[in-house]
Amino acid sequence: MTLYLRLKIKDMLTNPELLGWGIGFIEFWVLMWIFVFSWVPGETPWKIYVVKANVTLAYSFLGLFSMSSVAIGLSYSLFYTSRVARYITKFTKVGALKFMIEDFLGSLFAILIFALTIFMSVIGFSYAKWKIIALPENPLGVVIDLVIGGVALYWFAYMIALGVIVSGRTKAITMTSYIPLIFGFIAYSQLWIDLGNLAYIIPLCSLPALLTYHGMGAYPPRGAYLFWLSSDKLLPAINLRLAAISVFAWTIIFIILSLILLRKSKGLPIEEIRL
Amino acid sequence: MIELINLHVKYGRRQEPIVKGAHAKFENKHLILGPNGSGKTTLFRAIAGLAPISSGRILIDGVDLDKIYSKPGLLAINLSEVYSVFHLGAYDHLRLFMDLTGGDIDLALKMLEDLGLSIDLLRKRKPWELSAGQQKVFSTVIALFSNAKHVLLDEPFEQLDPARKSKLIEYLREYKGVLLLNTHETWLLSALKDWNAHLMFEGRLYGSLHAGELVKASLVVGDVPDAMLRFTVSNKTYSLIRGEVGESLSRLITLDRIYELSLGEASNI
Repeated sequence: MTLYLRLKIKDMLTNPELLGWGIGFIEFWVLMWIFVFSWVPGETPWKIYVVKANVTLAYSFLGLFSMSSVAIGLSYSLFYTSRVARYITKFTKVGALKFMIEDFLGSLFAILIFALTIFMSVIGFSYAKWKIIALPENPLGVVIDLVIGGVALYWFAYMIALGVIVSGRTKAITMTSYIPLIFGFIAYSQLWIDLGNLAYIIPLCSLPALLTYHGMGAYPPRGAYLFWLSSDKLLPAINLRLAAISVFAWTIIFIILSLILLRKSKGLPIEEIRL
Repeated sequence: MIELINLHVKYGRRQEPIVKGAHAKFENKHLILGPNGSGKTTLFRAIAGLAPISSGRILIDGVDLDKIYSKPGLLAINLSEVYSVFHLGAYDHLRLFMDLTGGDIDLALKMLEDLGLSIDLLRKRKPWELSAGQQKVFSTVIALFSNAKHVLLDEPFEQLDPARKSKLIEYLREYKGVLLLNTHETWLLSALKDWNAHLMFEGRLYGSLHAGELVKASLVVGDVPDAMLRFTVSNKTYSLIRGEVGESLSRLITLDRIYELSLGEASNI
């Protein structure tokens, strides 16, 4: 591991703002979810299933929330290092491709640490309350979903930072950096409402469905997750294939738009990035 | 060698160029003297790839700046903005840049200590938490110990006390490589007499001259025949001439005074 990559990870994992929003703020909602808002029936055959469903929803939605909070800090950091990146990639041993890869890997690693912290705390607090270890049915699937979410959010943040640079409206970074969190909130709103087919169209909205599927091993609904959990009425199930296509498609769109903007921004010398 | 060919630099599309048609070759040690706001830092930012070139070219060792990728040891600059990449301490930034450039961290730490920056302080503070003078020292030392063939030093003496100034001058005299140093302080002409000197006013670069000659030069208003150099500030032409007629350049102390002179506030020209 290069020193740049190590320091990138250290930077993100020790940044008080990222820790505050990505973990502190979300942990508050984890505690509220588990100890205030959750209702689980007494010693019934359904108890384990309900706890597991509740816990899965908690880490799916709050994990995404945490990652989108971290994306705010990422947008800022990518915005402020964009010009320096040009100097670094010209006059140090780090070329443009290596710089992008290391920045991406460092950020992704940190985003995953944030999401896994939320995951572990949900599992831990739910055990403290119900004495049930509600591990996911498909842990690898959950990790892969979190990685995909991290990749999507990194490039979403990068696209926003570069969009601000290219448009020349640098003062807009404060506002625009919150766009990933706004999409995180829209995805979060699916706990109460069914967005219909918009769930496949709006960025990040399909990700909780994939996490829920891998966490519970059951097909989740298209929306209104809390109603689905507490009611015995049937809700329209999500089309998982469409949900996965949506997440992948948005990730690719973010990457392509970022690369186009990168060329226009004249920051990182993209001409050098020849794969 | 750094070569500028009809270089224009401007930030906004509609903005006036800040550097206007600069032509120069830098292959030894060079002072660039100019008042604040004359475009010296922007010129350095452009050479380091940090400011957009609107027209013209910059060649470093014959290679166009746009074609230079991943060349450690080719160029270093002492701008603080370059050495604040992460939300981490100054020491981590020092380690990072010494690693990225193949620089010698032990020598850099020794010079930092000499100039009053202890390793403890560097560990405790982030680069932007250092005082303005300390930030300048910090970035100057990184630039000087990056093993670079060309080093650009933007106002390295600003906010340094006299003892540190003389220590830094010793380091600069001993430096083996191409040095470009910009400043508005004319006392440096006497301290670095064997360097080449350029003047920069309102985005235009003039020279080169020998710094030793400039020490003895005087400034007069108007276009004087046989002048060493002529330049324009606020639509007034000035001539630098040999001898003690007019205002001695080295006695101006700072070239910022040129604006006062152009407004006619000084009576001794």
